[in-house]
Amino acid sequence: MSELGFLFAGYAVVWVALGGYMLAVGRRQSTLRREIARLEQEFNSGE
Amino acid sequence: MGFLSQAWIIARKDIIGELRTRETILSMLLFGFLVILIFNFGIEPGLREENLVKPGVLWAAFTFAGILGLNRSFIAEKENDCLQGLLLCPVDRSVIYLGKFFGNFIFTLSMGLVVFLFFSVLYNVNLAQVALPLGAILVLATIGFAAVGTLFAAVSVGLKTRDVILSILLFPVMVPVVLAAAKSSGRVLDGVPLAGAGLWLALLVVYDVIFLTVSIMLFDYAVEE
Amino acid sequence: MEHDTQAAVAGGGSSGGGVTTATTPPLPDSGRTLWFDILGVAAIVSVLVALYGAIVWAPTEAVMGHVQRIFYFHMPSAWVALGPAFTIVFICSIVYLVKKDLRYDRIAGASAELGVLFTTITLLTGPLWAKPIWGAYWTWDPRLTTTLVLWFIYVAYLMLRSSITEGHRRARLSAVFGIVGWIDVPIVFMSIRWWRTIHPTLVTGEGMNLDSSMQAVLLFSLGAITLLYVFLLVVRVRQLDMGSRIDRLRQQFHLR
Repeated sequence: MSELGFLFAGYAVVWVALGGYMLAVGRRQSTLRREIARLEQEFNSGE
Repeated sequence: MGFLSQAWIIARKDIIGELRTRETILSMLLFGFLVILIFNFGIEPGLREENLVKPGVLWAAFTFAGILGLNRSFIAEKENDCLQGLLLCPVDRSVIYLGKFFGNFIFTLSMGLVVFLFFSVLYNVNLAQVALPLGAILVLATIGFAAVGTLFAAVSVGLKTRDVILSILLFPVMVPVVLAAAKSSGRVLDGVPLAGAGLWLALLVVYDVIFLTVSIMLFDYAVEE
Repeated sequence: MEHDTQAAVAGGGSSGGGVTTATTPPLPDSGRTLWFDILGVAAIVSVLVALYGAIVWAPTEAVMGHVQRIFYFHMPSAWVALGPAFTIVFICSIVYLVKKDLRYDRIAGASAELGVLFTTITLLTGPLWAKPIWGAYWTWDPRLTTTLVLWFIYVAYLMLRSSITEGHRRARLSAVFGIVGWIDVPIVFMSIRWWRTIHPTLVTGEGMNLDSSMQAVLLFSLGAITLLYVFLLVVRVRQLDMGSRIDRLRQQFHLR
């Protein structure tokens, strides 16, 4: 790997790691929103 | 009744219980021997660098076998709900910790002594010269190991993945102890007088003091219901 | 998706209040707060600026060449993990044990996740920088080796957390480990450093000459990544707060 190749790899690691984390957070957020929707539904049908 | 004698009662209970069945100490010993043996097959005997590797093998065996003993120290309590009974005793929680610590210390030290004997036979160590300094290192290392190990054993005893999680928690925190013990015993085995390894011993002492203190303070939180 | 995420988490807000007895249980509100948005934009913009500074603006290092530019993100990552991230785990662990407020446990958990994230980045970028310059991926450099042990300690912390489901029990036990782990770090560092000075490695960690503009980029990058850490921490803690409120609502609802 050329010198610049290693540089690219280094920055790729940073962005992949950060991006992966944000994706995980985003996915968890969708789950939470589904939870809320389900709660709303249960609540409305119970009333 | 004095603080320390209360702790000793708890320790004595564990020791007497163990002496009756002897199953834990025997498995610890066997495991320690096996680790040394397995490492030995991985390393060519008579290597020039053998002296660099030997102490590492000894302390790896000590650590692995020691963890077996730690696991046991709270299992019996947990299974028979004795922990509740202990906690109900009108004693300071730190007494319970000290008692458990003493017990673990004695078990691990005994295991360490025998494993070391086995090791010195296998590697032709001149015992007369090195027994005392190595004994000192063993005691210091065992204190650190038992101090943190008892606390973490209390933390992990109620968990499903009890055995594995104890190892995962303990190994990284033990790094300074294993490093200091291995390096100082390496120097002693090379014929350097104990003072030459003074820095490592100082590290062990500092570690022991700090973590014994911290563990006594945190033990209450580890076992409260 | 970014927008939606921001909107949804912005409402998590302050510590999960008390029990409501209204007939309609209030849902976590989705009002947006200005400071949160500013924080987010500032974090992202400053990281991009730091990236430009590191790759384009900073002069090329005399000895190491372009590969040295990894350092502008490698070092701040290490610093953020060891400094704010794990120290906050330590502090929040203590505060939780004293106050028994689960919010501190949530902050500790989120901070530990971010700490492991940045430690991982440090451990991966370090060898990528070392290989072209010194010819080996791993050199047992004391700081990087300590970082490796650090990684194991906090991964153990996360594994401990994930093996306990009950909130207060998990908080209590992880707090105990979080405190011990943090105290251990300086001792680990000292022991490894002594070890390495007795048996010196082929390479030293130093050997880098930073002129003033490089120092400027490094400092700016340090600030940018710290800002990013703070932003991500707020995002994650709000998410955890929200989850906790939803759980409580669910319990309330089923008790009616």
